[in-house]
Amino acid sequence: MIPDILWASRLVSIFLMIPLALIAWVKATRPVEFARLKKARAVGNL
Amino acid sequence: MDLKNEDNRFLLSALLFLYLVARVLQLLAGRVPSLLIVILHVIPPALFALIHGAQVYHSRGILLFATLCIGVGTLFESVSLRTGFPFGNYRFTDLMGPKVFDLPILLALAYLGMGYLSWVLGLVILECQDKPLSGRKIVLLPLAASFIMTAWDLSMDPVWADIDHAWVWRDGGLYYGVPISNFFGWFLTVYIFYQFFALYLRNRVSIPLPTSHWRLAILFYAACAAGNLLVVAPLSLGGVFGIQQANDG
Repeated sequence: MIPDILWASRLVSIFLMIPLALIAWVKATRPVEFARLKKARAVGNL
Repeated sequence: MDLKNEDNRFLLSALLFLYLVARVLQLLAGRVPSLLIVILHVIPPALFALIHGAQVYHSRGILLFATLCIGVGTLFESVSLRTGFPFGNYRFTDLMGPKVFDLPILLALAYLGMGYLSWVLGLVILECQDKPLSGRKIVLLPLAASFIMTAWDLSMDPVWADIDHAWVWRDGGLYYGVPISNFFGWFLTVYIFYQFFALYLRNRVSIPLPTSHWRLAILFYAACAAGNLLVVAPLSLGGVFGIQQANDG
């Protein structure tokens, strides 16, 4: 029973919690990249 | 709560480090007092929520979040301890330290820490961090944050109940001894305080903050997940806080 509980906890962490954190990490980064891209395009048009 | 940004970042990083220490200390349970491990699991995320949240919502906003979170959380826990609704029938052991009306004080603080981290993840995933909360997102954000917080409970409830014996489910349950009603209870409880907070935030101007500020909270949630990978099978059936079970027995 105890090894099963530990594995269940690990699987929820690996397949649910960590992906949620990764999605948030990528989304948090996106606006900065978008702003950089916009700035680069603006510079390119000069 | 008006510290400079640099000081704040150092403080937030130190709290994250303290939490990581707590997760590693789990491996030394039996040699380290179990209450100290529990305190280090609960206090750093709660302080992180207050300091990080003060930058996002000002002191007034984060204090409202804390009040809603702790208030609704303790209300539903107290009702459930007496009636079985919404979580199910359970009781707390002495592992989590002093109690008020059978409810450990540290549990109330646990709501604040994880409640805030889950809220921030929902906020960033729905891309609401740089604009006022409006339209469908007033309901979508509390639903997303509730799902994220329930995911955390799904990972740790059987461990804390069946291995660490921080609480005991009277009638057992389908999910490794935890009743399914517990997860509905979590979703309902956290959704209620998230929804109140979302209504408070409706159309309020948000403070622009650097990506690194959001990333610290995301890292903290990821550390909670990674910490679960560190929990190992106990040397005896006593769990990571094995001494406690021996005392309870």
